[in-house]
Amino acid sequence: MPIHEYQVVGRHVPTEREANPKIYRMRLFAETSIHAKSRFWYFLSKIVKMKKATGEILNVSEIFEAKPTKVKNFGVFLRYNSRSGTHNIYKEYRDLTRCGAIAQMYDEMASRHSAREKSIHIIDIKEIAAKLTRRANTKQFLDSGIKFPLTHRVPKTLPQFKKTFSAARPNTF
Amino acid sequence: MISKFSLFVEIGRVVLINYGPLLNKTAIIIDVLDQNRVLVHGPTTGVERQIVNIKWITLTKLTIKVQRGARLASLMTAIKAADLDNKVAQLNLVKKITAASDKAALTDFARFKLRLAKSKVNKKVNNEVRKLVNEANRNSHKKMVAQKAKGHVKKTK
Repeated sequence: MPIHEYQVVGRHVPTEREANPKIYRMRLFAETSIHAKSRFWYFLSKIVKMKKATGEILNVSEIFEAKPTKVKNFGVFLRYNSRSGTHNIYKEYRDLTRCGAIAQMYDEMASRHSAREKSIHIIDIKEIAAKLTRRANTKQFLDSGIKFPLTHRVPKTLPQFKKTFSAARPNTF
Repeated sequence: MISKFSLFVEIGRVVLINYGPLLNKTAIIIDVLDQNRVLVHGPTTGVERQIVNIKWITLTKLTIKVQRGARLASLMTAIKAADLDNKVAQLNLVKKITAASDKAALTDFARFKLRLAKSKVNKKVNNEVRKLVNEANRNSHKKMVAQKAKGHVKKTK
């Protein structure tokens, strides 16, 4: 399921003691608004003494990318639990949307660090200017004169034309 | 080092999409995201600006001069300046695809006519081939007979 970005606004239920409780707003990446609300209470209960039973959600709205056709560099700060401890790390991705970058991040964290979604907290994600990028893998794609060949191309066959044996050796360049 | 490669992933390269919902459509590389993905756009071919995996594209020999992340207007002028749509239609890769799709779109009657036309051509070709083969056979037979008369051919048991 694709990841969406949500803004969740909530507060403690007004009581006699506190008629105007403080309102909290959070930007979250989640598959659905239901997930987003759940994560809102998860994170909020870590910060302030409040829980779902004593709170209320005022608004959930999706945040859309302002320019979803422009390639941007995203820096993601996150914290995750590995098998041996908790780590804060910084990663960079090139993508069209913040959600796309986050999806890449979840994939990479799962593959490189065996970290699942539930053990990852996104601390911050921001679009960064080209000159402020840090990772070599990001930097090499910033060049507007970029040029590279595609080596060992295996012809893509449609599923209905796939076969186990072939009479002719494929041409891979 | 001289590269043996002649086609490159670069900004302005015309590519053919060979998989997925945009199958057989051409587009232009507008930006390179990473080693696996490029941003393509084909305003004249019905490809919206989007990310495509490099595994899903075939590079063509055509390139046009566009800037990285070029917007629609400048992309369109570049396409027009290069007369791209005509050039794309001339590509062997594209010709094959259009021929295949034309054939697939034939009606029953058109298929029937095609069959007759094809058999007409094949008959003519086969006739000519037959003539040549017969001629060659006759000649080789004559040669054999002549050699036999001279006693050059050994008798086999």
